[in-house]
Amino acid sequence: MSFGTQYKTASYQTDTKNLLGLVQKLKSEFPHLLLLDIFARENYRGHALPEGVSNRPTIDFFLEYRFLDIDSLENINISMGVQNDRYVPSIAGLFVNASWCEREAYEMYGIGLQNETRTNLLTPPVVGERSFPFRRDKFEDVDGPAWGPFQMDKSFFRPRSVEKNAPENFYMGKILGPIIACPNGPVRLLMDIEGESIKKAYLEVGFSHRALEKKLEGKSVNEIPLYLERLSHLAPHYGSYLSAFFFETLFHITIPERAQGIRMAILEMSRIMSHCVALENLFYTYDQHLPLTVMKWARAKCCELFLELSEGNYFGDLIIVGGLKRDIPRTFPIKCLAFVHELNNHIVSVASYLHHNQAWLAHTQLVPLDHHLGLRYGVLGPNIRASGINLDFRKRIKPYFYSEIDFDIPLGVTGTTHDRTLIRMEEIKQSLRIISQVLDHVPEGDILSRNLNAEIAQKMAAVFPVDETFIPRHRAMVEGPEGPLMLEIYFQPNRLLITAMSDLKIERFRFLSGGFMAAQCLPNVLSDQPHESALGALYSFNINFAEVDR
Amino acid sequence: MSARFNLPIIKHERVPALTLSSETFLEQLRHWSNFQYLLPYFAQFSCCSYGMENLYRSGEIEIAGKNIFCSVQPVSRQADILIVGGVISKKLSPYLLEVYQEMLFPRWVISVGACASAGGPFKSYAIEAGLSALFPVDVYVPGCPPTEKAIIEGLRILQKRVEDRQCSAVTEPDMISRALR
Repeated sequence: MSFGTQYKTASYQTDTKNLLGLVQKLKSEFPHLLLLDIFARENYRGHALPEGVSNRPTIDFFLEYRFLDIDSLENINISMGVQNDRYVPSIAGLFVNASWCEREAYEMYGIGLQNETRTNLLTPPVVGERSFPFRRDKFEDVDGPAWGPFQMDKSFFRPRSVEKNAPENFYMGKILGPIIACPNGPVRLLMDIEGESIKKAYLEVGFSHRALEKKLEGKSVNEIPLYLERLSHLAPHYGSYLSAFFFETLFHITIPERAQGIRMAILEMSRIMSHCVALENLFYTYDQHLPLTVMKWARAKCCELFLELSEGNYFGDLIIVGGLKRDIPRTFPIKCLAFVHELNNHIVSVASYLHHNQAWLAHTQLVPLDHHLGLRYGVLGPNIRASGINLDFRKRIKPYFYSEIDFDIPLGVTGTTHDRTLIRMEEIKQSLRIISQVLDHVPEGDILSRNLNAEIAQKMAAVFPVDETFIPRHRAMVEGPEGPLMLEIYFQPNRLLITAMSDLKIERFRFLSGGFMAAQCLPNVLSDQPHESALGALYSFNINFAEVDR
Repeated sequence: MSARFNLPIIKHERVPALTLSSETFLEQLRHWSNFQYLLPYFAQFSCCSYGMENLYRSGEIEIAGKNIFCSVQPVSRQADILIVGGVISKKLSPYLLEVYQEMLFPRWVISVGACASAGGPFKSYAIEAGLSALFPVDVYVPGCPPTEKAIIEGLRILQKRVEDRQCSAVTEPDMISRALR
């Protein structure tokens, strides 16, 4: 479930002149190189320039590039210093999914990139001068950075055409949203339609932009799970698991076996719940009432079990650093196994029902995701497995007890909406298999590491030395239900020796989910498809737009 | 001999006249229909959908102990109660205002969860600090996220307030008098 950190990491430092050459060289060296993330951070402390980068006097921002080689699971990091008033070359020609990340760097920090960054991603047209909310220099004195007021003309609600230079009324425009993808978050899908088929589509995101990365700057690390649980609410325990896993890899903490087993069961339950949301939306869209009833029941049952686990709240902050906050109730395995057995029977019958349902097949054997396109855009998780790519990090890394457990990775063929649906149903079945095997063999023992605080205090001095110029950083990734969840934190440098985790302060917080890349890929998938299938396709990708906007 | 017919004597109860003027009669009828027929519309985003998902997808909501008709509407034009849950960003708020303006008169709003009520834990420069900045809110449902029962309780409280005329509904001005003219 976790990957990246325990494998080899190569770091490069470059400047704007040599960036494209370096990326080109890496791309030819590693044939299956994925771009995971690009983010900017401000060099507001005015650090001295790293040696051998360039002779410029100051660096205003750093652009950080994160790549992953799928074959060897090697991480490749590139760091580049940029100046405020200079343009930066875009790598969108080499990696197409760099486009949204670079736009984000422009909109949040004002870093000028040489591509189409001026088209809006998060921010609508603003009245007056555009402000860059993540910059610190302008907003030190006021309460908070300004966002808006937005320019509200006719095009704000009803944009004329997606295609920029298309003649007026050449295509018929269709807009879905923003209140469509209800549990997944608000989003707007703009389409140009000719006859039945979509000529061009554009996904407008940013409706649930919460500025989480800005909000957590300067805050204690103890606040992270609160926000991450609510952000990745489709599978809530992955949020707290990500933050716990982050610090466990940072301090090299091994958690007890009982906690490992229970964590596996909880995470697989979360995964089921995430898939249930996607299937529920799909069946609701295509009027399949019998499967819809099953999925509603399964989701309600999952919620009920979560409520029991975390004592009355859906997000109980159950998974904490070093293990679990509280042990499961004695009745939990029995209830959970009964649920597993019942849901397994239902899933089998629903799958056979869909397989012979001609109305369903006619509507959903559309919108194929080509696996080449998917990999170019960095789409991972069940969406790429539906296109036939066998890539599941639970099977490759085998954390916890995954090596001892018998489960399969379901694969699709064409990657249509129907395939993505069946893959999710099959994954639910595999998750049920994992849960039943784990809950049968959960060992007795502690749920939290003994001497956890002493262990952390001991390792704190080595990881966070007293140095006012050194900015410690760490990165962690876990395999979430819809692709990887990535967390990278730059910590504030320490003036005094710290021993407790609550004293750690965040300098730059970066969170990205696999849905970000899937959302970027979606308009390409939709082109030349019937416009009636657009909503179903959007639901079948199951993108959490709260994670996309952050 | 002519047959005798004993006509039954009907004791009329004293039923007070509903009203003497048609204007107040229509008002009372309208008031009755307002608290007897609830037409909610759900605008829900992010994690507050936990409690609302089953309500949104069900055609009718049953409020315990109340024999009233509460039918969930698929579009806001047919609804008179707006139930909003989730983070309301500044980019979303114009669209939400558009949804509100499309609704029927009189209209009420229920704000679900901490984020919609007061910004919640995500309060920042991009988030509206509560729905009341956009339009008047009648009932606030607490919780992060609230459960299904809490949302139904919010609906029940709103219904009771409408029935007791405690809730200041946003009405179209002089609509009845215009219709009578």
